Amino acid sequence: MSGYRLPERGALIDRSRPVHFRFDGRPMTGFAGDTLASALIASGTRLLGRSFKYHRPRGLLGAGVEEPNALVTLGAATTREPNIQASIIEIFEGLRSESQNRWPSLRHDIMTWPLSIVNQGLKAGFYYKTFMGPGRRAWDFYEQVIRRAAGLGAAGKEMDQSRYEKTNAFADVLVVGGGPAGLAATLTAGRTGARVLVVDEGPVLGGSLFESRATIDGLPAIDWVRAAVTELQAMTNVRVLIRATAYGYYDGNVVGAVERVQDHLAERDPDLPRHRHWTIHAGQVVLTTGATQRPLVFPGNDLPGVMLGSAVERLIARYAVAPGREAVVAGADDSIYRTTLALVEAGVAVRAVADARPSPPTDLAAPIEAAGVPVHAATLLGQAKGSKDVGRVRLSRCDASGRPTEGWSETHSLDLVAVSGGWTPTIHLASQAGGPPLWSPEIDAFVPGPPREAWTAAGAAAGTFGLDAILADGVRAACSALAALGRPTPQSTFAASDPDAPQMAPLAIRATGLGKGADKAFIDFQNDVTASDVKLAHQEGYRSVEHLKRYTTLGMATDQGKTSNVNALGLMADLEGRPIPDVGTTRFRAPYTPVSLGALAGREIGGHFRPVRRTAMHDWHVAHGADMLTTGAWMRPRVYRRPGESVTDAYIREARTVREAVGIVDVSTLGKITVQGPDAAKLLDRVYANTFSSLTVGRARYGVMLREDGFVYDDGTTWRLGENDFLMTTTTANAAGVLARLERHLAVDWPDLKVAVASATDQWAGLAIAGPKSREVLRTVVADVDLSDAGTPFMAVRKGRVGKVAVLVTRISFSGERAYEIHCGARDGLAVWEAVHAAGQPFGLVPYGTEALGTLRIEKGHVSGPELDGRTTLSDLGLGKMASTKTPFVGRALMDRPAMISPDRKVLVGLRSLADAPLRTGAHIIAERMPQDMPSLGHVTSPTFSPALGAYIALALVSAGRERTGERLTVVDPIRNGTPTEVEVVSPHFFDPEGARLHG
Amino acid sequence: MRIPCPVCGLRSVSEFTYEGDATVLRPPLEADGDTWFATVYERRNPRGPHAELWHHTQGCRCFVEVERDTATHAILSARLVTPTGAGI
Amino acid sequence: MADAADPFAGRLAEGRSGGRRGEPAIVLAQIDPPAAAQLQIWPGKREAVAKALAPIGITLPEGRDLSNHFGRLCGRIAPGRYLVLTADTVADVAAAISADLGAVADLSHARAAVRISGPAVEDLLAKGTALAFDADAFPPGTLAQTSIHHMGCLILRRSETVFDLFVFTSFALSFSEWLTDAAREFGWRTDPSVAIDQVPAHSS
Repeated sequence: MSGYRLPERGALIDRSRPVHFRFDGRPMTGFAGDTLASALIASGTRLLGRSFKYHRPRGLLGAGVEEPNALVTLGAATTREPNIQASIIEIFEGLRSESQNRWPSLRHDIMTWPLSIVNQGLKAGFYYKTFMGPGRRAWDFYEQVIRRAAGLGAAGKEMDQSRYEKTNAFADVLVVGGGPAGLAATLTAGRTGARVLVVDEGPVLGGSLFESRATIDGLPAIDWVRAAVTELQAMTNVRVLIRATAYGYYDGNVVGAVERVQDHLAERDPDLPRHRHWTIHAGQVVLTTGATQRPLVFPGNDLPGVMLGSAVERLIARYAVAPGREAVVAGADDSIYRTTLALVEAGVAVRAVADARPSPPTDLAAPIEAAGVPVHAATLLGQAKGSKDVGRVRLSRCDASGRPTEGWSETHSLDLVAVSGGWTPTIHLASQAGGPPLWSPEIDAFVPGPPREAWTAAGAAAGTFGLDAILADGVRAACSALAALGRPTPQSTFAASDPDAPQMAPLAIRATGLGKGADKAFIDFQNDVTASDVKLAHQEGYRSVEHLKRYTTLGMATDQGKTSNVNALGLMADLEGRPIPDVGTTRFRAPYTPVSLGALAGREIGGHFRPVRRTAMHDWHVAHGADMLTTGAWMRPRVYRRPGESVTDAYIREARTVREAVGIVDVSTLGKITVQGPDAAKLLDRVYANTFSSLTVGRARYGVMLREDGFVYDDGTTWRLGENDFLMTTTTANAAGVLARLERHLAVDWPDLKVAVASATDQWAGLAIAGPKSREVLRTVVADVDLSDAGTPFMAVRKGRVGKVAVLVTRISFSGERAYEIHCGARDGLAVWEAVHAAGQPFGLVPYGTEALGTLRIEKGHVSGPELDGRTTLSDLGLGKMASTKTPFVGRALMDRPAMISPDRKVLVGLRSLADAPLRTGAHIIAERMPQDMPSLGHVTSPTFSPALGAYIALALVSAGRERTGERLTVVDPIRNGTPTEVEVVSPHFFDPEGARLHG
Repeated sequence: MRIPCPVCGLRSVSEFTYEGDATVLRPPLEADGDTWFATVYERRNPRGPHAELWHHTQGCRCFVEVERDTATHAILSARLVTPTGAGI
Repeated sequence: MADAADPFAGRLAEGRSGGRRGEPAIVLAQIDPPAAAQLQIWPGKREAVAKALAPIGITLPEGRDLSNHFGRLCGRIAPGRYLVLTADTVADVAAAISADLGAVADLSHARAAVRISGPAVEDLLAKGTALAFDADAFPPGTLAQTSIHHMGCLILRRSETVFDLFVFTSFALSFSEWLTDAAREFGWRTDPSVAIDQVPAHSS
């Protein structure tokens, strides 16, 4: 029980609002504004988790998103979410949190690896060495055990019921990070009237100013922050997003951010999202993302109670939490003095300050010593010990380059160690959108490389330290962004007076970790990578940082190495005897911090996953019992099932009724394109393989289009409505593609053609009426059309009326029966459908769906999507004679390449099942009943039961198929365990091959 | 990525469809198989500035020739591909 | 079943949701489907077309502007390509344009339209489209073509806070589902349907 609440301080907490929550089932209390970490530490809990591999006890190391240890699982069932940093989660009434990777409990975790095993066992490359090669079999056995023993939290298994949304924002200037540099930049740009968006991952703007003792423009830092926020909120041109993390920087100055809208609330509004994804389109970006303090690498540095100085300062200043009673502060830069002062002022007994540098700055050390705290120069923190948390440390001397020397040492009993290994600028976004980071020896860290997008880094993110300089840098960045936008740049200054004035002067002391106890000197806390792992990787020849990362898993997982990268690179460089810039660094990738999958999906889930298209008759179909099916984006009736009918029963009944009487089917989904203009016929001649210029007005023609490579692309009928006016129909699937192709030809390839094209798919609703009684039905319902065979011959297009509605009547057949299509304006579609349906009742008319439509066309051998699969040629489909020999067309030049006219190509045939068994799409066709070693001759494309033939039939693509007519082949479907079925190869024109019924 | 459409202004790439290498011009339909083979299959695939055709499918439906650096994704220029005299 | 001529199938006929913060910040009104025609002008014929359209009250606009001549709207959707929207008929447009000037396609049934207004309208639309809505980028009296939640959409900005949205008829229902879902957080209600030539009375 080390931590406790201080009687004063706590800028973010509201002591009048206690908040009750649970950790591992235990009831706890904190204050509104607390993070889970601050509330736990305030109540004396410092053991917050178990480490990834070794199950070592871990406490809080950092204070924000850099935290590698304190990962918890929040919620339960549908709200369960693992691996959340206790340092960022804001507590609320009723919050449930659990520690991870421990069993049976956090305090008594029996899976903790004894260090003796650690020493021999789970070193770098453990899995590769043990389980790859000859050990591979063992992996299969041990995997279950190891997966349970090593890991982070477990995801929930129930569907997340939370709402997530996505939105867009536009800004002249996007400022990422609302600390001192970001506030200076936002104020500077905002005051000019520019549209500014500032995002900050925390619940408040201000960043490190909450821990500052400085004054800005005469105000204490926190008061200056409050004044700045008030000013920004009054600006209509400035938008402030808090609890929002800019996680990724994308091409074209687009930045992705996730706003945690309600994670901090006990009562959640169901109309608001939990998380909102922001796609931010920015003119200029100012990266004021700050810096992260680095830990020191020494044996025992992962014990609970060893913390970053910045975390200690933050706990004291923001949450009024002292994380210990007796402390040692150790490090290699000036910030240890500020941490020490914060501890002393909070009443924590600081036993010693260990500064690794040979001559600590006397101006900073003097007030510390005056307070009675001994300051040791050239002193390292050699080792920390303790069982479940830190109990004592040993200090020892080092030389001017930070290497340990023999001789003096001193041991202190304590419960808190605050460390600083220097500061690492947060350059993730800059690295994502820039050149390689540059090494700055002054601050012993990487700073942003050259930008590849329109950004400027400022403040600590750019390696600038000292409050005055940081504020000035923020102003500079805002001005350079405004100048780049062509806007006037204001005169703006913020005057800071900071008694702490930390000048960056770190000494690189990473190599301390390499001595005795290196296996307990952790570099990457989250992945349990120690100094000895890095040394081992080096010994085994891993010289590239990219290899080091993958071999040791360093820098992976949820924290992405925010605290470990520089220490690891420094250690590697020391071992190599090369400077860090030569060793290099890995490139940062999005996301900067974990992003919820829900935020990426937004509302594109369930029924909103993809918008669907409905025809004008949609509700009628549903009301009449149709099973609706999504084909592409369209909803179409599959079958209209009557009580007791299966899908098969229904389509057989529907298809039989069409052959015996009459049926109607909704064909509104056909793609339709207006092709108009004096050169319209010329365009059609070029895009279709067959000729259209010879088509007379009032007639329709079936056409096939090829791709440029000579394969078949699409088919449909095109109607000539006037000399310069065609209506093209396409397959439902290719409507958009064909339109885009025509537009491309007209814009790019043949700009001299005077043709206008427009999508008219939605303009028309259509129905097809098919069957021997179709004309009789139409005679009772269509006016102004001569329906005699002379008046409306096959492929005629006529204008008429149904009631008051103007319609187009075309005599077209997909079923092989006498058939017509009626098209009208989409808003009249239902009225026309109902009129035809009613008129057909005395004739036994039924509506039919896509199943019967398919059956009828298969019986006639008409090709459709399954046959137009992008690999078939005109002659494969038996359409070779359609190709114009006079006018050149798209695909003509490449359609006769040798492989495309080879005699063993797979061509369209019919298959008739000789067993009374259905055939399945995709099943293969072989010569005999022996699937093994038997080459596939082709596959089934469109199977059905044919009511007209009383047999299972299919269209298929079979090698040299036409020569096989009459042969018996076998259809096999081993992947789906289908029974081999004997079939006879027949003509694809199964039914009425002479086409007599068209005129019946 | 965002593409500056000469008709609609700067728009998200999600509104556009990539329509291939703008340096490959279609030969006449009468051209022989070898010429068409080169048109359909042969591409230079340069690293650096490259002329590309983009179709503003979810916008004005115009074709835009975009000069884009394939190494950095930077867009260097964009012009409308349009029938002569149609800029009205 | 709702009126068959209503592409939204009654979903926008009347409704109200959210609004827990008082008055709904989004108002939806179906637009009585206007007559619509796409007009393509052959190169070099703009002046002749302008002359042919003048007697029937249609003005070819400049740039992204929307011309509005007594409720007959015309917007340029691409160079040489215009969309005419009018409450009455586009038959006179087709009659006015001879084949040597251009081509006219009647698309009166191809689109469904809804008017969206209210203080939260920009925040609502931002959820569906990456379009900048500030007045410099998208001034009142202009149009933009984009996609909203993967559906192609023509947006007419009638005033600062009033937008007329056109989607393909077959997407109307999907679009209204998206719209009313996205508007939840602001609260929404519907107004009676309006005609395309009913100009919004106030702009904010």
